[in-house]
Amino acid sequence: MAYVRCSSCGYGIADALFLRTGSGVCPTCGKPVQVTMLPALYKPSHQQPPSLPEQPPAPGEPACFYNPNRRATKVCDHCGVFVSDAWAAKWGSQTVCLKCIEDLRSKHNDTRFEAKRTLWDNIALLLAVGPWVLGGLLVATFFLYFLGFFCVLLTVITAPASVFIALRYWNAPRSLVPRGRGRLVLALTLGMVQTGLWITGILVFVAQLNHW
Amino acid sequence: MIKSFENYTLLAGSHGRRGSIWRGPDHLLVVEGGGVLFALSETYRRIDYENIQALSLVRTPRYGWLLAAFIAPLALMALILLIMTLAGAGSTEMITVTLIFGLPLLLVPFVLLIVHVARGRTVRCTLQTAVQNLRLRPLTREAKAQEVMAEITGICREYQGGTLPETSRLDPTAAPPPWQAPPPGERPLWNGSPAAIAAGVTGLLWGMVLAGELFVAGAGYLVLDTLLGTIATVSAVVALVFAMRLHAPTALQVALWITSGLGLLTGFCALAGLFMANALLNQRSSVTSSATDGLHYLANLSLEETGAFGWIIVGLGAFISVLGLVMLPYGIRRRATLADSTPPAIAS
Repeated sequence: MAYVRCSSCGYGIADALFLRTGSGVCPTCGKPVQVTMLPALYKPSHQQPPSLPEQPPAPGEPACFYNPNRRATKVCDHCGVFVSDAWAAKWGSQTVCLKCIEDLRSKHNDTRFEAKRTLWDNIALLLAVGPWVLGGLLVATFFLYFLGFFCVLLTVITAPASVFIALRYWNAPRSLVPRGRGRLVLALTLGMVQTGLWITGILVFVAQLNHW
Repeated sequence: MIKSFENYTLLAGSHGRRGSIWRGPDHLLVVEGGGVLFALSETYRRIDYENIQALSLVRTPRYGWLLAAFIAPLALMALILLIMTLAGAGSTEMITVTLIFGLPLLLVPFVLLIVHVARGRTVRCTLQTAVQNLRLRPLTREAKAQEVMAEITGICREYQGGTLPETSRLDPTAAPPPWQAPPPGERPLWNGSPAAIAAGVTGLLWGMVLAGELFVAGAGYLVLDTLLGTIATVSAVVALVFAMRLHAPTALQVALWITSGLGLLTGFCALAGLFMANALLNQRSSVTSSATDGLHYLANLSLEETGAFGWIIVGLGAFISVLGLVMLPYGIRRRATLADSTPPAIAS
């Protein structure tokens, strides 16, 4: 018997409920669930470790490049060496030796190893527009409008920060899904305009103070 | 957004916080965004087609909530115009009000309502493997979710081959799966709580009493208001502690947080109001006023005397009543209906 987790509450529901119609009601949260089950649900989840040849290679048989005491059973698709099962790994549709796996990860920075990326273009854009959006929302509540004014004052810090981040991470990798520098350009433009306005305002203020 | 890159093809989603789903050569790439307002970071998950066990879909109540949220301004605008008509307002006033409030209360909600209804029911879609139950965040609407699920299913069947068993016997004596009981450190499911019921009921009553505070004079009403407010706040805090120890619905947690916060804030404001009332009374008369005098002064305040602040209190009371209504259904315990189901952990 296999179990399918409810999308709403995560409770494990027996597969018998879904085999005929593909839908059923979760016994815990009571919500109707539509399920599509696949053959992998009935495959045993444990995997056998790779079989290791117990005998060293006979004369004339290929030996593992990294451990000559083992018989070579695979060829690395990257560097072409003969390796045993213990020194080979499945990498997508390819068979790769462990040394090449390490090279792919550390030297070539293969994107398939990446699990997370920081989106500096979005951070720069958030710093440029975030205080204005927050201020607008607070002003719209009518009785928190004074906090909206405080948010606008925050731009004296966020605007230069936005410019710095946009310039500092101009060439940094953006999302794994390719996209242009539009966000960085927009953040840089808005940040520079706001910074310019602040500088102008401060200079005018200082000039007025001197005048008085 | 681009539709394909390298050997990936877009199935659903965009660059936003919900992320996107891409069809790869032998795996599914799920991109998840995290952040405020924009996606400030992205997490990438690659799931081999041969490891996908099941895809499930459930409708969410978000559809109804959004429907109500978009209809409410339209109803409010209709109410305003109706009141103006009954009050004998002229066409000039009606046109002026329509022009001023038309954009926020008519045009924008109407467009959003049409788009929302056209996009269809909201759903929550998950992908199950042997080691995880991954929520597919880009799939929020039923039509799109079913389309993408069908495509993923087709790809998986090509990779997995095999067939499903025709029938499966329910075995009541079979042990539940090892992941059914939450592993140490993970929270069990929420399944109702008397504290949540108490918070809901008292919140509902307190909200109504608070809204009527400036319409009913007398110290007794103020004492009732204070008592209900204290009970509602304490119940909400207790229920919140339970809710945070368990895997509770988001709506319940939000309602409990807001009720607890508002209860404490109202308490402080009431104390501050008492001090201010005493100060005002001292200013007006030569005799030093006592706390009782301040209480009587507050108890006998009317809406005309408080002005706009009074309407804020009325609105606050109505809001707290709504929160009480939201919390009430979550306090009720649900029973398992299948004979072989393991009862979920129950909040005491």
